[in-house]
Amino acid sequence: MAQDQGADTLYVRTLRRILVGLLVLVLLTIFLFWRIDGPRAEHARMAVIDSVVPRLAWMMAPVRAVSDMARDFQSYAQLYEQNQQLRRELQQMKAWKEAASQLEQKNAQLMDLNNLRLDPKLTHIGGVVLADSGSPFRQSVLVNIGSRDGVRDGWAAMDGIGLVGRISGVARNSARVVLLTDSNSSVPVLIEPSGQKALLKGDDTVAPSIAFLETVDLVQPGDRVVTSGAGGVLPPGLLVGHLAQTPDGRLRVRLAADYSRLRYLRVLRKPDLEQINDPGGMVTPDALLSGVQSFDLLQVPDG
Amino acid sequence: MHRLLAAVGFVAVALLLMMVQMVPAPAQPENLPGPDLVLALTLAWVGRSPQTLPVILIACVLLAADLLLQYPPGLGAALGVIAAEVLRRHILRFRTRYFPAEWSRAALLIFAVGLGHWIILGLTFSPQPVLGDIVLRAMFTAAAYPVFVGALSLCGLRAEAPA
Repeated sequence: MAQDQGADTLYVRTLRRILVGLLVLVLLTIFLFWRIDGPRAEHARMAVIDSVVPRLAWMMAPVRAVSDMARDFQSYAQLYEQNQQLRRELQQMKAWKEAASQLEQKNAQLMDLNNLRLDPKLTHIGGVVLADSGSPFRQSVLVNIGSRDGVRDGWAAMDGIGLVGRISGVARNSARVVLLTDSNSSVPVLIEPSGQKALLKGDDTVAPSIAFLETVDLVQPGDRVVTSGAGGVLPPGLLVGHLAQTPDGRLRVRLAADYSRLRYLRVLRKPDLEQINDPGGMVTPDALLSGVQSFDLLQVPDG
Repeated sequence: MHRLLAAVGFVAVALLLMMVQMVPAPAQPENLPGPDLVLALTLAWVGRSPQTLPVILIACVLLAADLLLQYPPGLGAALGVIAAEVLRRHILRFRTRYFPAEWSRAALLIFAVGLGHWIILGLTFSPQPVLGDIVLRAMFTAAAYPVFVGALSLCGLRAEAPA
């Protein structure tokens, strides 16, 4: 009897071991599928996130409230220092405001003179940040607008001031924004007074680094960095941040967008680029003549 | 009935932890990598009562965590299932319970999961996080283990007498 029972548990144990092995195998197959066919696996992941996260947003609200309170309390502790600092900054700002209003007038005059129109197709959609990536190794956020609102991969996401990232992964009700700090993010930029082109590469730190800069001597810390629009993914001229130099001499960009408070994002609607598919035909006398003839034919009935 | 309650509780707590990790509070990359809460919860639960948690449920929850938290899907789940099974067998084999031994075994498994993750990502030429961050994360996860054990025993999930 006892021996029988022992054999029974042994049997159960072996069966269990086989089942666990199979389970692990299935999970590893999923991983391999992700490794081999990344885009499709990421698409499936977006579908899962889209069906789960917006439904659980109510659960996140109290957690977010608590974390906001903790942060507010921290800033309460530094209130005096902050107040002093703000006063100083206010003084500086007054001077800047004066300069800005003068510049604005001048700019308006110049624009009037050039008969310049800003691109009206660059409208935006506002979205609320639903969730963080949750992993310390992926810098991305989830916004509550998706293909239902016409969002597409590659569109730029900004906060009020600067570029935050670009859309990568769209589901029906949500989309993922890869931040500029993500190690997978690289954005072609222009460093402004000198007009040098470079690549802004994220590396999981607050300030992404500058790569492929042609002449380092022409730029200096404090220069404005904007998107160059090269590659045709992001529109040109969006503010990214300002150049800064680390003690070891490497160039990094202090981002203009406030990454510590990403709450509302605008996603810039990008018009489809017009593509030139016509290889350009040969212009021959025949073609010109036939054009003239058909023109004549059209004219004939009238006359 | 008791098992069903445990399973529902486990899934609910795991979902809550994922949500906590996804709260978009400070998106500051400079912060230290926090603990892997779901793995710590799973191991603590298995360490406390190895009989209540079916392995298929562990696999599902860990896979969901991989998908939601932007990890390579399936890899963390596979390693987590193996770790949970090893811990379960260890707990069931030794009849007397001695918490430091259990904790050190769990910490060892957590480090093994982190390293395995890193090595497999390297072998498949996937983008790899920095090894130092992985070690830090494993340390925090191991430190979170007794916290979860304490919370679970407060909720009435005490160590069962081994069968």
